[in-house]
Parts: sequence; structure tokens; C-alpha cells
Amino acid sequence: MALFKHQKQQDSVSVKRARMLAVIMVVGGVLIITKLFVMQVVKHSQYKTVASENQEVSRNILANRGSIFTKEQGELHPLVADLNYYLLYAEPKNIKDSSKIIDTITPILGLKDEEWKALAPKLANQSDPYEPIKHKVSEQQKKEIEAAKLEGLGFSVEPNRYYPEKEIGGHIFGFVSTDGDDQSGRYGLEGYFNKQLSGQRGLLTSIRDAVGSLITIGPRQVKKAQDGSDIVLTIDRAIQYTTCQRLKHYYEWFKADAGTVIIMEPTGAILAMCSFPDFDPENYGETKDIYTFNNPAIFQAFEPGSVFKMITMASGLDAGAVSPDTTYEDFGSIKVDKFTIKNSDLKAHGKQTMTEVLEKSLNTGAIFVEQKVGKEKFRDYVKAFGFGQLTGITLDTEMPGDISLLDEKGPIYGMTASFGQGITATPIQLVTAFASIANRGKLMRPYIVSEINSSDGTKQVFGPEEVRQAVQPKSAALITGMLTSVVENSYSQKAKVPGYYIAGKSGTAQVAGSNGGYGGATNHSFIGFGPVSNPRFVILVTLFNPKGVRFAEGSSVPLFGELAEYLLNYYHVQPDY
Amino acid sequence: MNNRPAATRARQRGTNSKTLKFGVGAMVAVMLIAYIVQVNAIATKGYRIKEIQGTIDDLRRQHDELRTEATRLQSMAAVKDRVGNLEMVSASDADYVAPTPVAVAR
Repeated sequence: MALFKHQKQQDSVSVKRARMLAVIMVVGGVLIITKLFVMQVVKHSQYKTVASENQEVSRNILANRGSIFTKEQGELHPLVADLNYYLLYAEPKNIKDSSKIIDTITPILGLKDEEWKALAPKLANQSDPYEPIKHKVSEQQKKEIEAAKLEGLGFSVEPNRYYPEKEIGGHIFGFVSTDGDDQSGRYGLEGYFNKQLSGQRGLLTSIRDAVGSLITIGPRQVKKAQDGSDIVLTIDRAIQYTTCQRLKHYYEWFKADAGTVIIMEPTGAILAMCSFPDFDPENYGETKDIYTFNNPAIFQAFEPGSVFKMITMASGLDAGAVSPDTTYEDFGSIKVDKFTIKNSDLKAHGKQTMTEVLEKSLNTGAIFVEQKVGKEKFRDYVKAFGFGQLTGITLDTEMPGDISLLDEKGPIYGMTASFGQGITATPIQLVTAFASIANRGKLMRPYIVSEINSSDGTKQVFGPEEVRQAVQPKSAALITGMLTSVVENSYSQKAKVPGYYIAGKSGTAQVAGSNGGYGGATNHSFIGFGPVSNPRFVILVTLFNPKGVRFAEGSSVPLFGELAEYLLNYYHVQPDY
Repeated sequence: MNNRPAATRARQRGTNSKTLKFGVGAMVAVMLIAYIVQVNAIATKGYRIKEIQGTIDDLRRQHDELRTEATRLQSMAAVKDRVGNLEMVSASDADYVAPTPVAVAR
């Protein structure tokens, strides 16, 4: 009975303990649920923000920069494309053996002595978290370094421009400078079409795991990148290459300050454009003089000299002031106010026709025509041929030249302009003016881009664009005949190609010195087109201040002849005779 | 004497209750395991997708490398070198032949 009572008492105690435990558990459970409620409901937005900051990640999706092509027999051939290189970097705090790293990467990357010696203390600095080692590491070099399994090294992708065609000139393309992920085109096509070539970046928003990688199956928002547009040029690769090779030879042979060749179709399409001094767009940082980046073909305005007599003569013919057989008396010089203007050969030739004025490049003859036309009308013709204004070619950085002296009062300015002194013009303006003669008097806009193909499939096509009728077709035909006679009968016979009729005019222009007068330096030009019966090309050759040669007949004229012969063979043009 | 049916009912209730508890517990366990298996499978697939994406990127890089090499080999300078090795010479003056027009009269 006592035992039973004791047992009953013990059971009562156990029940009480159990009940107490249950109460504690219930209270604990309520506390936990309350806490969870506060965290997940009351403070939901606060914790969501903290979680987002930890887990959410936004990354830019880089757009691929557009490429630049030339078209050959219907197929596109790249002249400029994007290629991924790598930046090799080190995390010195994670490096255990910096000398092993130096020994391994030096032969792979071709580091010079001063480079690896400068690098060694940086890699040994354990407090340094990051150290870039080398840019533009190729895929092959990356694989070799990765195979060595060196701790503390890493790679990041660096998109770079790649130019598979070497020695075809850098001025047309310009270059692309890189600042982190940003690429920016400068000069040439890269500068002019930077926006179209760049495209637009996209954005990826997703969540990352504990090590920072994106969770593939996690939620994500993607704004797709829009790749840059591709550009197709009118440039002929073979003509461009040959032109640059030949020009380089003459530029170096005559130790010229600069040289430019432009080859275009009479309707405005640029087939080749090459200038020296040149630069390598892939290594533009090695260029010492920033002025080199400017394309002389569109930037360098100079006094054109006797090539401008074509403009004067065409104006005279079109105005009805002269004909090819009109004569005048050449006394060798003309006195105007306090100035005396002489022929370049310092001779008096007596009675001369207008054709002979061009053949013998007589300054007095050019003045005769200008006086006959009248200064205002002559100025209008000069403007009609496109001088003093931009041609509108789609390249950075074009200059308009300067014909403002034609607005000055006083006859001297028109007279000197008639033989191409006192005014300035760029090579592209000069070749475009000559092309108008080859195109029956129609001045066309020069263009170097034939297509722009966007990443969304849309295509813009560009073709010949007429600016104005500079002179009448009859005048163009007459001046063509006169220019053909120049090549056939004058000192410009090195421009001849046997079997073909070529039209052209040479010019040896004096260069103004810093004191305003003319020194001994000259610029040598020859501009012509052929075959005369059905012109396929117009060529301008200019050598700036060549040494060891006095007149253009010895420098730019033979180069023109070589290029004309090459083109006639290239196009399989049948001989005229 | 009447306790027996009550006791039996009570035992039966107890048995049913135990069975129910066991069943629920088993279902929870099965679903828990299934959930773990499914989540693991999805996570594994996610990493597999990432691996495949890496393979695609590698193949794309190899394609770009080959295309770059092909472009380099087709460049004018490379062609000129190969032409030189073949000892080819420039063509001299070409003779153009104008075919004589043939007229047939019936």
C-alpha cells in the first residue's frame, strides 16, 4: 500500500516534469516561430536586400566589335577583325616561388632582361594583391603557361583588333584604343564609324554561388548585346598592296618627307589609298609622332602647283574663253604690281597654243586663261570642282584646304592660283577633280565604304553619288585630249604605257617657308587617268619634298606609269593601238 | 466482461494510430529523400551545363583561331612569299586576241 502510494507520487512528479518540459518546448517553439515571422514577414524587404547584395550579380555582356572587309568575287575577305588576347596577371600574395615563375614565363612571353628584372621584386612582394604582367598574350602562350601549373597566376580576356593584311597601310583603318572593357576607334574608318562598329553592350543579372560563379539554373535576366556592324570597303586588296609596296620604294628611295597615292574609279569608288610615313594599327603605341596618325591623303593640304593648270584650262574651255588651239604670246614672265611671275624653265616660248601651255606647263599661259575667264568666274569654277570644301569621304580626319585668297582683291591672287600656288588642296580633292574630267565633267563624291551590314541583318549599300556637273561633257572631252597630248608629247612620257592612251598632268610645286616666302623644297605630283577611251581608273601620286630630284618627271611620274601599267594588266584592258 | 470489446477497440485504435503515424512518417521520409535527390540532380545538371558551356566556348575559340590562321595564310604578304617559293615570274606583255567575227548566211 505504501509502495503503491510512493509509486503514485513518483508518477505524479514525472507527469509534472513532462508537463513542464512540454510547456518549455511550446514556449520555445512559439519564440522560434515568432522570430521566423519577424525575419521572414516583418523584415522581409530588409533581409531580401541584404541577400540580393550578397547573391545578385550584374555583369556586362560585351558586344563584339564589327569587322572591316573587302569583297572579292562575291566573297568577303577580312581586313580588320577582333581577336581575343589575354592579360596575364599575378596575385603575389599567393605566389610561393616567384623565381620559378620568372624562369618559366620569360622564354614563353619573350620578356627582355629589363622586363623580367623589373617584374621579379613585384612578384616577390607578398603584400601585393594584384600585378599585371603582360598584355596581348596569345592563346598558345596561355596554354604553355597553364601547362606549367604555376600558382598565383591568372588570365583575363582582352579583345584586340587584328590586322591579317600587313603592309597595306594603317591610315585607312585608324586604330582602336582599349581602356579596360571599353574600345574606342580613332582616325580612319575606326574613328569615323566608331559608333556603328562598337555595337551596344548587354546586361546579365543573375545569382551567384558561394565561390562567386553564376548559378546556371538560377533566375536570370538577360539584355542581349547588339554586336557592331560590319563594313565592306571599295578597296581592292591586290591594288592596295601593290600600291603601298611601290609607293614605299619611291618614298624611301627619294627620302621624301611623305608620299601619297590615291587610286579611284571615275565614279568615286576608292580602289587604293596609301600614304607614308605609315603606322601599324596593331602597335599604334609605338608611333612616336602623333601627327603620323593623320591620313595625308585627306588631311595634308598643300599648294598643288602645275597639276592645278588642268582646272584653269578646263574652266577656260567651259567658259568659252579659250579653245585648245587658242594662242597667246609667251614672253617668259609677267609683271604684276611689284611681282614678276616667270615660267618654271625661265624661258620665253613665243606663240603657244593652249595645248602647248599644258605640255610645257607654262605659268604665263595659265595666267592668260585665268585673265580671260575672269577672277570671279575662275573662283566659281574652282569651287565647282570641289576645292575649299570637304569631299565628304567617310574617313577621319579630313581637311577642306584653303582657297580664301581667291576672295582677296588684287589680280595677283587669281594669277598665282591659276598655276596652283597661293591656294591649298588635299590629295583627295585633286584626284576627285581629275576624276570628274574622266567622268564627262560630273563631279562625284569619293567613297570608300560600299556596304554596312548590321548584326540584325539590315544592310546599307552605298554607291556613286553625283555632287554636281563641274564642266560640260564637251569641255571634259577637250581637256582630256589636251591632257593626253601632255603625256604623249611632254616631259611626262614616263607616265605612258605602251599601247594605251593615258591623260595626265604633272606638277612641281614650291613649298612656302616659315617666313612666308618660297624656299628650295618642292612637292612632286602627277595625276592622270586611263585608258582615255573608257577610263577605268584615276591615279594621284604625290611625293612631298623628295630629295635628289628636281622635277616631278623624275619622281612621281614614273611611279604613276608603273601603277597605270599594273592596273591595265590587272583589268585586262585591251590596248588602244 | 464488457471490457473486452472496449479493450479490443482501444487496441485497434492504438494499432490504427500507429499505422497512420508510421505511414505518414514513411511518406515524409520518402518525399524528403526524393526532394534531396531531385535538388542534387538539378544542381548536378547545372554544373554539367556549365561544363558544356565551357566546351562550347573552347570550340568557338578554336574556330576563331583556325579562321584567323586561314585569313593570315590568305593575306597578300603570305601569298607573295609562297609565290616566291614557287619561283613564279611576272607575266610580260600580253597579246590580246580579238576573235574574228563569224557570220553565217543562209
